[in-house]
Amino acid sequence: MGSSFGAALTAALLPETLLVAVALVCALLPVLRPRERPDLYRWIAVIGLLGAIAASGSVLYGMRLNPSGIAIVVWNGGLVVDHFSIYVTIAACTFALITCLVSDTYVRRIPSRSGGFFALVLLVTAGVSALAAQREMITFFLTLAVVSIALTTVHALMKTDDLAAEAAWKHLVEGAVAMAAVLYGLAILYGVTGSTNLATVAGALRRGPGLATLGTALVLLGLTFSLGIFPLRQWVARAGEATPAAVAGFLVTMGATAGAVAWARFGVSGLGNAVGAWTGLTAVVAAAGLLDAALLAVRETRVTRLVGEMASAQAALLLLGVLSFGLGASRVPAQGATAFLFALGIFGVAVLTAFALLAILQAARLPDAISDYRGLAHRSPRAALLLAIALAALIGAPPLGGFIARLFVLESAVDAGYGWLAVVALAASVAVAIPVVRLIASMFADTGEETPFTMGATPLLSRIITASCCVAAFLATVLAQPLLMLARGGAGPLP
Amino acid sequence: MLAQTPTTPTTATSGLQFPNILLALIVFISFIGFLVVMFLPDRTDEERGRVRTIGLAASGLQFFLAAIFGMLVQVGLAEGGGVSSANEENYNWTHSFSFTSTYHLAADGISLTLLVLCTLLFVCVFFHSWKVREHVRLYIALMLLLETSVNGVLCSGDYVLFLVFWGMQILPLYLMLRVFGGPARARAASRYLVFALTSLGLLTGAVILVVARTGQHTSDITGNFHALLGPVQAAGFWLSFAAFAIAFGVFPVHRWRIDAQSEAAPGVAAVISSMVTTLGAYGMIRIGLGQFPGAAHQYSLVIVGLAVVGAVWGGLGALAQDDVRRFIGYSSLAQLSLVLLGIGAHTSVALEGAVLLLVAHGVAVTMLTLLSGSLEERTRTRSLRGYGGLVAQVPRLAGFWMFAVFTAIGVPLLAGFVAEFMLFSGAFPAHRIATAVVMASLAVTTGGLVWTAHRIFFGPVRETLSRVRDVSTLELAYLLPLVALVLLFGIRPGAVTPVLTNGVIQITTRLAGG
Repeated sequence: MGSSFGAALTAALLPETLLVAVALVCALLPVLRPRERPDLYRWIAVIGLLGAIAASGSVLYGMRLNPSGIAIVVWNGGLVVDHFSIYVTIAACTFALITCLVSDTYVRRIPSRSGGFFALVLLVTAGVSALAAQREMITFFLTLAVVSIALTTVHALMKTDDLAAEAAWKHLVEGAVAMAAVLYGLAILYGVTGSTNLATVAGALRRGPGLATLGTALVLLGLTFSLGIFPLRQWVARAGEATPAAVAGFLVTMGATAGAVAWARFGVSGLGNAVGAWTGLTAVVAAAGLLDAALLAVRETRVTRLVGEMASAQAALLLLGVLSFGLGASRVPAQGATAFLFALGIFGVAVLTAFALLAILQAARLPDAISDYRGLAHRSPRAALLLAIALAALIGAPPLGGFIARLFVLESAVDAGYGWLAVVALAASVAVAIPVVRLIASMFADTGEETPFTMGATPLLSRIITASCCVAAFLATVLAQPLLMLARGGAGPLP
Repeated sequence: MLAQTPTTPTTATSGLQFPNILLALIVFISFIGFLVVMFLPDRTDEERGRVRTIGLAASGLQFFLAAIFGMLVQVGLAEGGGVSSANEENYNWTHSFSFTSTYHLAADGISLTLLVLCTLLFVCVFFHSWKVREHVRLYIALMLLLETSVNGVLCSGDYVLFLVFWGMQILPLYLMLRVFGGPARARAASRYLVFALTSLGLLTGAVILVVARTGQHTSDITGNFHALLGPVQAAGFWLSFAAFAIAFGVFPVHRWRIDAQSEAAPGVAAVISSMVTTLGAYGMIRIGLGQFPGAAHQYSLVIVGLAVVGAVWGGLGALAQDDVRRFIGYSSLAQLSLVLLGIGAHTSVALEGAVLLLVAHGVAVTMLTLLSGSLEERTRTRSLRGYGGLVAQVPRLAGFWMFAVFTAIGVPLLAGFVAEFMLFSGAFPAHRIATAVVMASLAVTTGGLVWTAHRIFFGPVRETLSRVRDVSTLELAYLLPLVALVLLFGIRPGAVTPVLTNGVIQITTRLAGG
């Protein structure tokens, strides 16, 4: 019995274990063999990520006859490996894989720290993956803190650049405030209930509703930092501006994934219907996040910051899916969790693609101001076309996948009774779309700097991966059903 | 990935088996053309010619298929067939969410009639593209994408698919407005963008509301959505009506269309004033009336009121214009207000008249817009004061202009006459005063159209216009098919109305509570 449980636990935690082990290899190898090519670490990381995806697949295969969708529960329900956590693992590994494959130009700028960079990428991925399995306050906080610190360190890797160093420092300060808020919030919840298990907390919270609301609000405030939405969202725009675009894409995407997953675990799996305050607070935060991102996007003058604002709006939209985990108007599930996971995958790839395109343009020495993108199509038609597709996917323009994802999230929100929030989200989506469509038009319509440039400064593999992601943005609509099936499977054990 | 639904695709017409990819071809050939064109160079004249030819070929093939399809449907109807849709393609798209979406293409009498119109108009616009000299590849590519979107909207049998195609038109149209056109095109494009995105947002809201609140768990348009409860039905109706009214460009949301009509390149302006407005009207009929019959009935007076104000506003506004394109825009507003009257009347005859008027208006406004572009190209002015006495130099151009004017005002033996006759005879019993006012305003519009034709082509010849050449072979190539369509609809309306009735009857049955 014991050995079978141990084997099951090992198998269930194999993806995270593999990621951490490969991260250690990437971190230690430069110390042992300092003259290795930077490329080597990338391929080690890619192998590690593919291994983690394969391990997740094998866990899923092992669970094929398990209707509950739960692989293993340990520490009195504190750690639950289920379809949800496995879906998140696969999504996070995919995001990291894209980052590894499109970050050549960045890695070339920091050859001596490339091993460290890929180690951090793997560590963040393992952290996000582990976060999705947490239902225990202490490990929940520790995992969140590991992800946050690792992301800040990735931010700080370009230490020779003053702007990047300042942005990383501010990121650290904001992160510290956020982690403190989460810690205080969890401490209050523990003080009220006497338990660190979120599942137990929900049952015991009826005793002190006022304090519980305060604790919940503090935790959610801290999570807005990871998610990259109002109020703790300044790091997103700074990351876009100060960090090379490929890395900024990773920071924003993984931060949002970690924040959204933590929010879902804390709110849906942890507090559920027992503590109504979290749903009200989440709705307010989502609305504020959407409107804030929309207002800032309209005034934005730099492309990377604009993409950051759009990512922020996407992250806020994900909260509508988290909110709609219950029953809908016709007493059947509103499928908010399915919409949440579907949108998480689509949005993640869309943000990474947009930043990867910006990385290609940065490598071609194109400045970052929106005015510098005028007439881009006359200088490099391919770059302009791909960037237009990536941006259109990000704002959810039909027929790209972002549109379907938005539709599902909004439908589940309306079904679950959050019609007003859907109206806010629709208005914000329209507002965010306007500056982006203007940018696209400016690339094709206006005449700016006429010096042609090529995308040749970026290696072929990165360009192929980026172009494939653009094609995937379209295919996500055509092949929505298989993706939905995956998302629905992942959403099953969440509530 | 698209699994076929248990309900097998149906071929409604008796004895005639259409291939089940026919509608897909009509929708997606232009998309394939778009993909091909995007990868072709356009540096030399030869390369640009190749790009234009591909666009024309793709569009021509779609028109050919739509026309053949229409004729076969008519034969099928004559043999006693013809039910809800002449041909369908219905496959599961998504079924793992709280509602099921299908890849459902269908074409009933209304959509088939408009499909033939739109595909023909696109052929003419592609012929006209030989006049476009800059950014040819972009122009053709965007136009092909737009055609996919227009045909897709007309054939969509599922709300999600409808939304996808509806939204697909925004980016290409905005880019075309922004790139090709007059000096104030950027402002016109921005205005269009705001209105178009608002329209998409409203429509998305309507679809989400209906799908989430109906309890049907499907987004298929043929679902039983008209059984929705009062407040939800009213909200869905108003959201969708507002969305389609924006695209339709009716009073009071007509400014974007007038600006776009005025500032866009002639080909783009023709697409906006004919096809985008047609889609707005189609949406009102298909979704506004078909899906929310109770609310449409309840608020029909509001629709008719808007029609009356729009007709008067358009007629008087046209008289105040000096720019020939803005004049066409306001005249078009008055014409489209008649369509709105037909939609608000809720009778089969009026609805059939409204659809036929869409055809007549589409052809007339396209001809006038393209001809005004030709005039501007030759005279370097768009001011009505700058024209005069051109008939001696451009007799054929004047002839086509007068033909378009006659179509618009409804001269017998042309499509406009049949349309207006059916529309007024259908609307009068339902809304007598409103119909009378609209008819009176039509007299103003008619006067304006004739007076303007007189100012351009008759009277003393201006010295600056002493050497103006007549229509070229290229212009004949895109004008003659339009003339043929108007004559076909005008002389043999009986060939079209059975097909149209087949589609309209379903809408009016729902309106009657059947």
